[in-house]
Amino acid sequence: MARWEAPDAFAEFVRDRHSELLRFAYALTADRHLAEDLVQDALERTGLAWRRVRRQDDVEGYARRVITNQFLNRLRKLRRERLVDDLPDLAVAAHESADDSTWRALAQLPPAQRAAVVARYYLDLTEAQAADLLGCSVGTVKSNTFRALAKLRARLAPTPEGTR
Amino acid sequence: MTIEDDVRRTLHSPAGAPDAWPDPVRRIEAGIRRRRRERRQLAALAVVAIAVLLTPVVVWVGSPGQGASGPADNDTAPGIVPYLDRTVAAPTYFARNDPRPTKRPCQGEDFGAGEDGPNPLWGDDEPLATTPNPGTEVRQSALINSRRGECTLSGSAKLRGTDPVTGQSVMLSANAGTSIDGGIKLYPATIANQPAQIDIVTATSCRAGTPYRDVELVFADRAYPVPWLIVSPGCAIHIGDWYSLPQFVNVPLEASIDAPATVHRGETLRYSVTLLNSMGMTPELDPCPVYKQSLATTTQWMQLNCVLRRLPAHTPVTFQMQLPVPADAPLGRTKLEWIVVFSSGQVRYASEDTNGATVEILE
Repeated sequence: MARWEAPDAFAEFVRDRHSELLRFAYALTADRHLAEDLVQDALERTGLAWRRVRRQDDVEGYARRVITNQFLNRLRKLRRERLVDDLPDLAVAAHESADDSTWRALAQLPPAQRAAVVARYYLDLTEAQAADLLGCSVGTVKSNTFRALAKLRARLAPTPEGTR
Repeated sequence: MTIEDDVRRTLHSPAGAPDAWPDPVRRIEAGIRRRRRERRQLAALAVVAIAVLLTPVVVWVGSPGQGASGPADNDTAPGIVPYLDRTVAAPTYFARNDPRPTKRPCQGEDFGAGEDGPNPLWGDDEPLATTPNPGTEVRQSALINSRRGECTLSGSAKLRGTDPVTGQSVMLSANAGTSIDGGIKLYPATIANQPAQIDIVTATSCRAGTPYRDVELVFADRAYPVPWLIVSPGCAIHIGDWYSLPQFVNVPLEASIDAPATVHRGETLRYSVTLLNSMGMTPELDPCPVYKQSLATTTQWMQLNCVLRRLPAHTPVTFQMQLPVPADAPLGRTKLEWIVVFSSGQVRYASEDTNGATVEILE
């Protein structure tokens, strides 16, 4: 059997977009190791399905959907996958910057809410586009976003510049 | 600054994001080669197993001059196989990894922190798209991480909440131990670094009225918050038994769904599934495999149209599919799922990367 080699177009896609996919996966998971695993897995699946995927208009969107789906369904997918023994502890810093506080608060959101927030405020997708990425209804995107922002407001102190 | 601006700024400049990979193409190539190697090894084992089982039949059935991988007379690939309207009973055998043997009963100390903090339980705010009965909702709660080695969760659990009128903590009346949603589940749930799950079915009317506060699931001598569950006094609750999901064995086959984005209630959803024997190792379609198609509340087990005795290697074959959408199907986006089951018990989900295809049900 011939040794598999990346088609030129796929190789170019991987070179150009893998770092952005890593940033997206990190925003989604708040875990750099998991982010790398998800991106590796998604790009391998994209490569295996390249003949079909390349006909789509938005290859990167396909990869993002795979990343998102794998993340949201980790507990339900029928895979031979071992979960880590312990979740990483969130260190409590005596004095955190505003960005650190927001990042920690984001990291503590339930996965579906975090995914909605990432879709809306990292990818800047519309509600309909976010629903397409997350495989849910627009109503679900709205409710998850609403709940996420409500939780964030409750957890974060108002900034000196203004109210939330 | 609004919270939205703060979130946007934070997400776009997170400290600790992974660095770009030094040689991403080589890294992905290596991963793909490993997957292909694993598939070949698995398929080779399957072929050996099938050959051993079928050797007496092959001696009688095989015709001289026909290579082992050559096509049979009726193996011409038309490219598109028409839909066969034939329902079948759900298969009773699925090849899966051996279930974990029953271990000592789990206790509260066994459960590590969950994804959201100290609560080891995890659940979705949104119910499952499919429910066993109209007017009900099924929410799954999952439990991960056994800290002290393997343990077994058996039986059901109880619910406790604070009555909105009296302010008293009360045990909520529920039918326990009901087998919910069918499906393929392993009872009891032996867990160690894999999730145990429990299904809770409530009437949709449970969301009306003033709900109980601080609802908790009580099991393994502890109580754990379930904030995603909204129940009010008087509503019907069914709590299933703890289970774990079996690990299926995949058949060496690629499967992808091509479906329209929308369908109207009362219409027939016409879609297709393309199967690709990418490794040349897919077992023959004899006995003919069955498949399950599901969309929202509709689930059907059907016979695949096995006009071909085998899927030709490296050539996609598209099977036309139809699924009637009831006039009272729930509106909105849902997942079209398709899974084929071979007589060996091996399975393949179509479009597994995206959990099927998203279809919106319209009025």
